Amino acid sequence: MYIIFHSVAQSAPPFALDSQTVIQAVAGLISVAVLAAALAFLLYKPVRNMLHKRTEKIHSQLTLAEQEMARAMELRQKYEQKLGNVDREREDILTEARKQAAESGKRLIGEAKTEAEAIKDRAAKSIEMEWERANVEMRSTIIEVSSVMAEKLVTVSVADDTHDKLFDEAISDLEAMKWRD
Amino acid sequence: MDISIGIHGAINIGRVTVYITDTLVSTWILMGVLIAFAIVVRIKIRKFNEVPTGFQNVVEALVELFDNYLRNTVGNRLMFLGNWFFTLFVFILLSNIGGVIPGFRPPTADWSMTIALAVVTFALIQIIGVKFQGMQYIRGLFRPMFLFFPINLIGELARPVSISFRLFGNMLAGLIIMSLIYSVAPIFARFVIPAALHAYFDIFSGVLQAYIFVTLSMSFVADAAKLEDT
Repeated sequence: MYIIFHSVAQSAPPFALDSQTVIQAVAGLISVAVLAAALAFLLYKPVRNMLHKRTEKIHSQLTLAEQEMARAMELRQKYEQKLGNVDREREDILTEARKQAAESGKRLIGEAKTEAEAIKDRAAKSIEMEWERANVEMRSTIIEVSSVMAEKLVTVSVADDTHDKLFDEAISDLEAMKWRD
Repeated sequence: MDISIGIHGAINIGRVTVYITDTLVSTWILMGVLIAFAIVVRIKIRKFNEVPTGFQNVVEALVELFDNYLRNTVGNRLMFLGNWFFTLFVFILLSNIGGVIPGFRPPTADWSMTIALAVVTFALIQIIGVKFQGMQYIRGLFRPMFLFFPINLIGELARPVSISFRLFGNMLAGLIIMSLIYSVAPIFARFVIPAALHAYFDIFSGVLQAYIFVTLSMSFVADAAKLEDT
């Protein structure tokens, strides 16, 4: 097989049914097939792949955005519901606080009453003790004063033997009184 | 007026002589332009952004619009044929529009090129028919009875031949009319009247014929696959 190129100075009709038409058709077909292969490799497939990848990416981003949107809507609904319940929750909290305050008040009043009773008891006991102590002191003082007066009187009017007798009686009485107390 | 195809040389491959015609030269020029564009895209695609602008916008719009057009015509199951139809569309479109360039002979104004493209469509119809319908497709050629096989076969062959002649005829007609205009128009009028006719025959008709050829090819192939889920 050999390939030779040579110049030919002639022309051919645009339409003919001969062997050269078939040869020309085959040559044209090969040329277009080469072009198709080149365009597929260099242009069509790379651009198409790029577009496909971008479409996929956009689709995935859209899906993600939709999911995020759904989640956001759910959160919004939840918060709106919570906001709607705020009044009721506030009332509950206030009622609870009032209840606790009343209980605390009652407890404090009770404690104060108990404390006051204890203080009152202690004061009464103290008063009683003071009263008893004052009685004893007063009695002693009266006795002392009486003794002094009696001594003065006896010294003036009673003989010595009578004096001694009375003194002894007085002493005996005082001792008896002391023992009684 | 000369509408014949110029031959610039010949290559002998064994006993076969391949003429280097205007059509082949135009085809190679288009190939060069398209491959150069594709190389630029391939280099720049690494720097493409998430939000397209300028050149990236053009490239993405080109591929995306064609993809949507293909999907709407043949459905998702035949999207693997996208590259062939994309090449077919771009090649025919540029061939037809190239007619506005002086001295450029549209490859589609040569029947050998349009029948070559139509033969691929014919082959695709048969391959896809067998792939998606199996023996049912082969049996369809013998319906309603065995004697109808020649008629069905002619019907099958007529489809690529008809689309090839439609494209070739339109482009050749435009070429002939433009040649006539150039040959009869006075020199001072050669820049005004032909411009409007070029806009019609090369751009309007060119885009329309490219669209028709590719859409018909897609429809035939989709029909062979009996796709109803498009």
